[in-house]
Amino acid sequence: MTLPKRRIALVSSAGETRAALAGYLTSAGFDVHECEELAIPSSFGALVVIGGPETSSSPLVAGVRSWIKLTRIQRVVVVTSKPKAWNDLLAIHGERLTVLPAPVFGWEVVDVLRAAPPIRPRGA
Amino acid sequence: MTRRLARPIVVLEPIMASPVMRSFDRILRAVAGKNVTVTFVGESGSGKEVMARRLHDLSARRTGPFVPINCAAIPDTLFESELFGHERGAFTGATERGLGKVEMAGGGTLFLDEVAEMPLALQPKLLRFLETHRFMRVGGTKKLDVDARVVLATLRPLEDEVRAGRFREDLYYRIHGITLAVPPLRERRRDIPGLIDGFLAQLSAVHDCPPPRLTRNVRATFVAHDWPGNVRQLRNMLELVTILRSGKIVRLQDLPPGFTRTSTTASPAGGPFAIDLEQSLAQIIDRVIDHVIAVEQGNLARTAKRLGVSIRTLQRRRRA
Repeated sequence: MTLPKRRIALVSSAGETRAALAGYLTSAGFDVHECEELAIPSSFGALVVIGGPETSSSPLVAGVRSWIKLTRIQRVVVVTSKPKAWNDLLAIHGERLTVLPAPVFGWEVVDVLRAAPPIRPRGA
Repeated sequence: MTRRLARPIVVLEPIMASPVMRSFDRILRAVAGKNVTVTFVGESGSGKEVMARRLHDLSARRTGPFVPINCAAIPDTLFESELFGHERGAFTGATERGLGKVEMAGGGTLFLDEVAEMPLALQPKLLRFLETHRFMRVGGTKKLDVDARVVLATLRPLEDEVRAGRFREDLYYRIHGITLAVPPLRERRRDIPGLIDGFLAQLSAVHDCPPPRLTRNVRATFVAHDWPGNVRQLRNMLELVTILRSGKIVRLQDLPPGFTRTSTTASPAGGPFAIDLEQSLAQIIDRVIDHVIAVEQGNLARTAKRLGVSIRTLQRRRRA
């Protein structure tokens, strides 16, 4: 089983940032699905999360944690002004999780998505 | 007076508020769609790689990879393998086939930074690739085709390198066609306020601390400063004040001693002091601390007060 690497979910509250980044990622060749919550089917190759001033105990971090455990194979890229809030999760899931301190150039997100080597699902 | 800090999350275009950069961007847009080799010339830290990336994003190749390679950072002996890849057994330690940057850039853009540093012996191979888009891996026997656009950058004028015999004349003429000069920061001062806000937001995130608040005088000084190290130097300065003055107001007297000496709007706050861009941030911080200690004639309490840190922080830093 291989995931469609270019099919990604962009998770953020609706707004100009999400729309602009979605447009940018689409122009870079990704099939982008915008959403506000983390209840996402596992058919995505990666998840891009636009964080806010979250803490390590915020619902967003907890949501990503459970999502990583649930899906097993997807990459997660978080853009946040509070990268430290993600340190615990990074320590456990550093191979699948990348945290970028905001603001970032859109192409930094693209480079992380492209650099991610394909992961073989368990049992494959 | 301080200004509220803008908090952008994702930046999709470099800051180009100044007329010279808007004009530069128009040229980039015009050139981006043409499948030609482009060479960026500009001072250290002026943003040549950012402009190369912008060129890639504006081109039809934006769905492909952007592969940067710094020619100054690769030992001569590894250069060919790094650029063109190698076959298994090509040399001691080559236990597997390795892809080179040229191959990785297929369908996209290969960015050769500091191209003047490329070994002379390898330059004919680059020339051949530019002309034919074909190459061979080290130890290989088959010619391979790759559709990669090559973009180059240099901080030293290539004409001088040709005259000095360090750069081949035929390669120079091959890449000379479209050469774009990236303006230094002192020629695009209107970009500085946006860069300050962006960097402060990012650096406060990186260091997990509240951003410092720059007074209007400090902002004016930064805009007026000549920044010989360009955007990189501005970022280093902001990282310094973020670490030393996190969450606090930054006034002119809080800037590193001597910084304002070369600015046109402010008076010096200490003796001569220059930041060497080759040094690490830790070294720069240590130099600033040593300098202020000297200015304060060894009085750590006054030094700490001047730097806006506690004596304990100062002592810990000196022990590190």
